[in-house]
Amino acid sequence: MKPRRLVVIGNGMAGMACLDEILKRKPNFEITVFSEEPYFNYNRILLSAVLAGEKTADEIYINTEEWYRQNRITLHLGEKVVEVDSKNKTILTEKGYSFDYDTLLLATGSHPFIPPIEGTSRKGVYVFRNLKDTGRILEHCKSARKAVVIGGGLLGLEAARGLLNRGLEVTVVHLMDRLMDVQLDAVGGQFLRREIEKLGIEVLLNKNTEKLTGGESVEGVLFKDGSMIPADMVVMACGIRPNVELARQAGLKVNRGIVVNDRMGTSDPSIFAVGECVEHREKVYGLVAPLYDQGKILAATMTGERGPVYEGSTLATKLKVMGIELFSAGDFKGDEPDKEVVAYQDHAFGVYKKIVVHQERVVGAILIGDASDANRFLEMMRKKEPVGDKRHHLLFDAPLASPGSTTDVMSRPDGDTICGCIGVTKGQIVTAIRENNLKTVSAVKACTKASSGCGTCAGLVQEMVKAVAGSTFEEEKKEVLCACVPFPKEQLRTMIKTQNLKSVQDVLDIYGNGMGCYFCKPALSFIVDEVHLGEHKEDRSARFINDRVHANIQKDGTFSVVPRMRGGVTNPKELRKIADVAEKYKVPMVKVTGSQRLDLLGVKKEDLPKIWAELGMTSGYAYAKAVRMVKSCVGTDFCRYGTQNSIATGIKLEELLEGLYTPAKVKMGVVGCPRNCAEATVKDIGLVGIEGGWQVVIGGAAGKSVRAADILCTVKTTEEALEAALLFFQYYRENGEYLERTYDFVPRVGLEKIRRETVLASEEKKTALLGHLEKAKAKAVNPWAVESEKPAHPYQFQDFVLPKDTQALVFQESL
Amino acid sequence: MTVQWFPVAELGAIPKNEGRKVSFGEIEIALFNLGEEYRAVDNRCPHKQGPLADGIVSGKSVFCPLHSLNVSLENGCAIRGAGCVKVYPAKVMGARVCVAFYEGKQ
Ligand SMILES: Cc1cc2nc3c(=O)[nH]c(=O)nc-3n(C[C@H](O)[C@H](O)[C@H](O)COP(=O)(O)OP(=O)(O)OC[C@H]3O[C@@H](n4cnc5c(N)ncnc54)[C@H](O)[C@@H]3O)c2cc1C
Ligand code: HEM
Ligand code: SF4
Ligand code: FES
Repeated sequence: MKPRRLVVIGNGMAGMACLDEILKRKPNFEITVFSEEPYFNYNRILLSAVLAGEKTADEIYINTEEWYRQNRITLHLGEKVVEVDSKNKTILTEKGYSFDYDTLLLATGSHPFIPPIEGTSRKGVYVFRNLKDTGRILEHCKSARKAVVIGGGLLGLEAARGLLNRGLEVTVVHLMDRLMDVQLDAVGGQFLRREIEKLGIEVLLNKNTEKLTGGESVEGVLFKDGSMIPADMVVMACGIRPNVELARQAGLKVNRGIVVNDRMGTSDPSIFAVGECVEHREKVYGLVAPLYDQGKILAATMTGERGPVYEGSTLATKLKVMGIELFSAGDFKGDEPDKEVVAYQDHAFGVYKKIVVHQERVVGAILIGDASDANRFLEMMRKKEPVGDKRHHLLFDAPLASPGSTTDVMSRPDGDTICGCIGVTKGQIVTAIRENNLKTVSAVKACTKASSGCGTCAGLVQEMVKAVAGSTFEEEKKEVLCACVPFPKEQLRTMIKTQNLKSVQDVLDIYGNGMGCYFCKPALSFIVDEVHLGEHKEDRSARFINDRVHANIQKDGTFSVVPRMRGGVTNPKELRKIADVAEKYKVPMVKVTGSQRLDLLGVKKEDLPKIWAELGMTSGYAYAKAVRMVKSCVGTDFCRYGTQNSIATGIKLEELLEGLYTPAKVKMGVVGCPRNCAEATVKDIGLVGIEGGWQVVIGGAAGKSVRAADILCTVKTTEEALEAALLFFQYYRENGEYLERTYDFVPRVGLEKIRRETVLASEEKKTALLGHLEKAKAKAVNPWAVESEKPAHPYQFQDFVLPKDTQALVFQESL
Repeated sequence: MTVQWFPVAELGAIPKNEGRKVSFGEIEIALFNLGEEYRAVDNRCPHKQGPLADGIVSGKSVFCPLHSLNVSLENGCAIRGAGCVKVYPAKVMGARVCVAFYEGKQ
């Protein structure tokens, strides 16, 4: 039988999800897809993650070229369909080609709504809908400083968060009296606003935009109330409108969207529609869950099955803004008299939970601050089960029945939805794991699509693979510290803390082989020191020689002495002392180091304490996994480009942190302007002066690896800049793995998380971090001053030389 | 046979699990306090002559401070090959640590 020709217009999420379902049924179709966008099908939801720097554009593709090839789908990329002739069953593309179809599927999605105001065509004004928009916004982020997002809905807030991550100052303006007014009640709006402001995003409500001002490029936003704010970037997130032009021109019945029946058919029996472009029972959707529901029904319809019909979807939203948990679903208002509201508010923790009950059934929910229960409520709503006994603990999950029982995912009913985006149930995942012998989360993702939406359910999926696959489960290997102490590093830290182990030997005796080695002994030395904030039991023999004698061992066994020169600043008196010492002790070489200070090379171990005493300077810790130095440029003191006092700030920063041990060495730089003469952007921590403020950058390197630092934050005052540097510094001390430089630490942990736990953390968290730092700092000493007077051990610096004429004690014995 | 024991350091001069360099004319050895006993080997690592006395002790072996070669203090040989150093007998006599400066077992 000749295959039927199926033409799909739109290569987006709905179209391809529906095709996936159709292909599962192995139909006799010859499939052709037209895509206006020049890309393979990608996950539009994750554009927010791309903008925020959490994912790269390459990581969000759903289907590769291979998928199209294997399924024999002819794909026309970058080819817009401009006409549908439903009488002759042909379509016409922009490039002038025409194709015949037997069945036509419209999956054209929607387009951003741009309000009719002046100035939206200026340069620097963007919408945020597809990969191209995202690329253009990201390009402009490199030079832009102040962004205004018009629209405080889901999309606007996600865009604002992304721009903030890119180092821009961001204001969100919203027409209504609360953010996300479509998904939140007034109280929820207030909670959300506080959370958003805490991130550092300015929020302006009840603002009606009059026009976007400027010349060729946008310069500001003017409101109807006469007020105005400057902006060199504007992102319009004012809602979406279904793409219905083709359908209308084809003569289909169109209202707000393309009108479809319960089997997703349009008014023409050969034409179907799915996704954001459709209107079903007077509803138009703007989320992915409904389009997966629709896709399944439509696939059945098209392949001749007469299964269940589409009855509409329960709407649920999760805000994908790092640092904020928000979930809203169904009828969340509950203001009609026959509805009951169960609510909980905790302002200090920013937690708001509200459940709407109607005739004994949960019909809506809002969760802010803690959305971990979202799927539980969604499930109750979907099943429409009477609440019954659960009413007693509706807001929080039932207490565990007995100590042995768990609330883990395996104990849930098979019908429970695990992946809310795609609509995959527990039963489906378990079956997939069993039947296909899946061993990893990514295999489950490939097979069932679970966790391929917003990804928040990946943890649950992992639990399920673990439970079903049992011993064959393949986890990413957790690295242990070393063979002598075979425990993961994080776990060791916890054990040392909770069991109050104060010395390296204690740890080795209890958890290790009792001996240790060149790697774990120094590592444990650092950990016990860091965990106990300097109040550990120091064991010199567990330290590397450099840390025993506070100098850097050289290839011939001699040492080098690098005194501290804060910010790279010295003076004649210091220089004279250095010169005198160098002559007196016949130091073979004096060198200017790469770190803006002087190095006396080739010093004998026994001379070290004498040299320190005569120099009277502080140790530069050039030998340790510790704070090395802060390089500075000349800055406003002398430089004609300087915008900030880099010298004074550099010296200050060095004073605040010197003497502290770190997982790996920490080099810092402070520069007065972006010309970056002291190379702050390739330092572990850098402060870059800009007009009216500082950029604080982290994780840079210019050693064996070269890595440009990431922007942690942009702040106005020097105090704020120093605080941000200190927060990151201590966070790295507490979470970095031994020998892990910041340029590995930052990408491993993720910039987003680091921000969330440092500069964007709650005041309590920040105070705690700074408190730890202060305590450790109080214990930090200048080892040169201490040990030139009284070494840690009387023979710390002493070797033994036997005079030539030493008398032997002679014994008669057999060896 | 006759053994010449040279007193090189007072008991307690070398902290536990550390080493010190001892020179006697042309000879330079690394003397270690392993707690229960003292051990002495040539102070030049078989790799690139690193000063073993400044290494980190691990049981009855030491890791060279320059490139972390692990050298046994019992037989003087690198645990994973790469050569050996001389071993010198060492023992405590009264309040002193003594070393016999002649070639010991390899
Ligand atoms: C930044 C962002 C974040 C989002 N976050 C979420 C979220 O967290 N949760 C959620 O549920 N939803 C989210 N959404 C919404 C979700 O992405 C959409 O609901 C979904 O993509 C709609 O799928 P669709 O296939 O109907 O439309 P689309 O994915 O837009 O696909 C339509 C495709 O058709 C093409 N097309 C249109 N007309 C033609 C033509 N004439 N010829 C050829 N091709 C044509 C378009 O170019 C487009 O590629 C988000 C959207 C954005 C932009
Ligand atoms: C008027 C402003 C400036 C002043 C006062 C100034 C001053 C100095 C001084 C005193 C030095 C040290 C010279 C030496 O060690 O021999 C120096 C080095 C340097 N300057 Fe500038 N400079 C200025 C502008 C700049 C600019 C705009 C740049 C880069 C775009 C720059 C890049 C450098 C570099 C790369 C070095 C060498 C750094 C090194 O030796 O490690 N300088 N500058
Ligand atoms: S970074 Fe800027 S302020 Fe500092 S010396 Fe260079 S040009 Fe001057
Ligand atoms: S010199 Fe000892 S390991 Fe290289």
